[in-house]
Amino acid sequence: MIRRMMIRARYMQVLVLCAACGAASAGVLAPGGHVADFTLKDQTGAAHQLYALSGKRAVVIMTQSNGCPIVRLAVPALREIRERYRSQDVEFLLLNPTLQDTGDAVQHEAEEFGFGMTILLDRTQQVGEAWGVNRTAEVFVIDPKTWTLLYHGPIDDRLNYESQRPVHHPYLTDALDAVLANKPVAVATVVSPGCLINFPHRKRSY
Amino acid sequence: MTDLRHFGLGVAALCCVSGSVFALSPGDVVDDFRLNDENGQSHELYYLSDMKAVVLLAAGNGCAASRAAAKALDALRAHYQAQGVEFLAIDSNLKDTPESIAKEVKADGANLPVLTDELQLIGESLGFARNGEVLIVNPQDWKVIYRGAAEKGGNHYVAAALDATLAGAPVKVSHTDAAGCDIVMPERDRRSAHAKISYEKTIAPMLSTHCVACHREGGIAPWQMSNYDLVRGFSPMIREVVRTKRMPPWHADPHYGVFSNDRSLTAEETKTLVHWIEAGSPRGGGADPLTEVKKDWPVWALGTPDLVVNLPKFDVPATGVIPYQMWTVDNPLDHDVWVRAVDFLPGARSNLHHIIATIGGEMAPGDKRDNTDGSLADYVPGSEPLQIPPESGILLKKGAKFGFQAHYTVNGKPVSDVTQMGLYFMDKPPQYRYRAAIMANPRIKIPANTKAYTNDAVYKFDREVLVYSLHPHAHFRGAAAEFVAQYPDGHEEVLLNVPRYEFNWQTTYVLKAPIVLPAGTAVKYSMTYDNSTQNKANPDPNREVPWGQQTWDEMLFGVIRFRYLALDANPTRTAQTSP
Repeated sequence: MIRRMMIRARYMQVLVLCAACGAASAGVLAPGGHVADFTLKDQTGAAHQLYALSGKRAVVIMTQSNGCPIVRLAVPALREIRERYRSQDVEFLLLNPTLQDTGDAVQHEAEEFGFGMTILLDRTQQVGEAWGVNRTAEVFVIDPKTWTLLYHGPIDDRLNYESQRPVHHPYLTDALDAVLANKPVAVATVVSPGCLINFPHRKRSY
Repeated sequence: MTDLRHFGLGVAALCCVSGSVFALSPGDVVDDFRLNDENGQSHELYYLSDMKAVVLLAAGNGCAASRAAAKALDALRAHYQAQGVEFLAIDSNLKDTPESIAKEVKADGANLPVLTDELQLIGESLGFARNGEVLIVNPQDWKVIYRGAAEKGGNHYVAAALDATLAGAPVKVSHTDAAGCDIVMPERDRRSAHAKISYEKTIAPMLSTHCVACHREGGIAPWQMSNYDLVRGFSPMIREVVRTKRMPPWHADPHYGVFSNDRSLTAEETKTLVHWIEAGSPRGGGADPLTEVKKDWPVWALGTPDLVVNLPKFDVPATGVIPYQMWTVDNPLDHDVWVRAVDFLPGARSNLHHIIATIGGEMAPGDKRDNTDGSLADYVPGSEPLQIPPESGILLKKGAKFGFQAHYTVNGKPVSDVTQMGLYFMDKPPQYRYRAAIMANPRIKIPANTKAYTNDAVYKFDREVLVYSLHPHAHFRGAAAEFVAQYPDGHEEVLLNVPRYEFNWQTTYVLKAPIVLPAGTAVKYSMTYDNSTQNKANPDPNREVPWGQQTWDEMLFGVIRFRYLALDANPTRTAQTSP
């Protein structure tokens, strides 16, 4: 009996690991893929449902974690873009999919750095896992008509580790302009610099 | 242990493409790393993002399979390099040193740079088991597209994989078995032991010693190592910055010189930290020493200074690139004094990136001033105060002016800074003057769109000197620096090699044991610049870059701090600066 239970436990563990494995490789969300609904609380405790934004023309969500210099420098740029697209019904949100940042800590960071944005707290990392989030300052552009992912990458090519330079490729606004013009997004995936987020249950290759 | 490994293999067989969970298989992502090659040149994998493919060979001295594979790759290199394929060898064998690798490379007439993976951390994570094994990575997503033999039985697997990738087609044969010489990797089979590395007894004390001076409340680091949860959350990032040598911020090649302000982790510490993270950053039992980190840091580490100089107030914006600030401040003293120590008290510690303080402003090439009117001290975060060896001192004349170059970084919120400099005086004049030799070339012109352009300046000591420290300086395009002594008898010695120069960290490298250079010794200081788009700090790769004080221009500028070995009978004029 005990032995059978052990085997069963092990089998279950295998299944859990496999789910994570799939999330990190084959099953990961990629441009063109379907974005499932979720409801998450923000840093003030208010709940937000993704699919409640179905009336918007695009939803832009950028990953955030406390203490990451790249995301601290990216948020003001994202806010500027929000201002530019304010009249065009585009929603801008931040997503914190870390284990370590509590709601209070996120609220403190948001106030200290004047983020002025809603930060969704993904404390169980469910969304981060499903979306294949790797780092902070990764932007996801979603089409709320079909709930498909249109773009996954950085805001632009300005920021890097301990450095920044003039923008040459405004990836996010290029993507938004395409979406608003009902055209396909030309560059849909870009490798993004930012702070690696710890997803302990994701299969890693080391 | 055995159980665990079988378990791991079972998981892999059930759900993943192939291979154990601890070996990189086709489709897996290769994490970034930075290693020096056998000549002390630095290579970072992700720097190669403009390449179409990167071919990595596990190489080892005295291994016939490795030699044959290197030869096979060498034959492909000329053809594929022109199409944007980079070829690199990685030597993860414990018995091989940069010296022995260089000898072997020379004897073989091989052309592949051989990266020396002395800690084996990179070889372990690449899953290299045999010398002679090849891994091909696609820089578009850093995924493995081929793993196995270079060629076998007339099958040119590497060439076929490269042809497919260059044509945008999938690689048909992505996994073959590579024959070769086993790489002895003692830590590879100790994964379960790594899970027992103690956070309380080993990891937290290591972080306290090496990181917390900056990663604390009010420190310059962006996040605080104030408890286990934060360390665990940042674990993959810690692993990345350690593997890419971004942190701790110490950039000297450990093979040359020993420095008293060395901030690096030891080889053992580095391995322990990375293995702990790879084991999942286990908490284990016991207290959390990081919650106990002291909150009251001393205002002045050396006690109250004899003179406190206030630097001008500076308002740091929330974001953007801030030019260097150049300030002149009057010396309020009405008499000459000798300085024995200098310290800085940053107002906004999290934004002040560095200060270079001088007496009378930074020396320019050809400047004929007495060079005690030159360098004073530098501030970089986490640095100790400058304490000049007791027999030497810096003369601060009445009426002199202090010059400051201050560099601020932005962190997303606006702040104001007033930094103070504290000076400590000697009771009586020293036996020696603490001197600075400036090595510069104001005529540099760095060609546009060039990944590596090297220029140098030479300083010849006409008297026997004792050298205390070396300081390389460049701006956004600085990439690598070196100080080489050319002795009168003709032999050369590398005094300092900085394979990856990082302009954000204006480090002065202080020799643990000052070295004597005989009269007639010339020191060649060279700086390599990266004026390509691959340099992520480069504001404009299309520009030919001239000399200039601001960061968008460049400097070839090095400082050697020294004293004469013979007593200064009349310590007045010094040797001239370099032409």
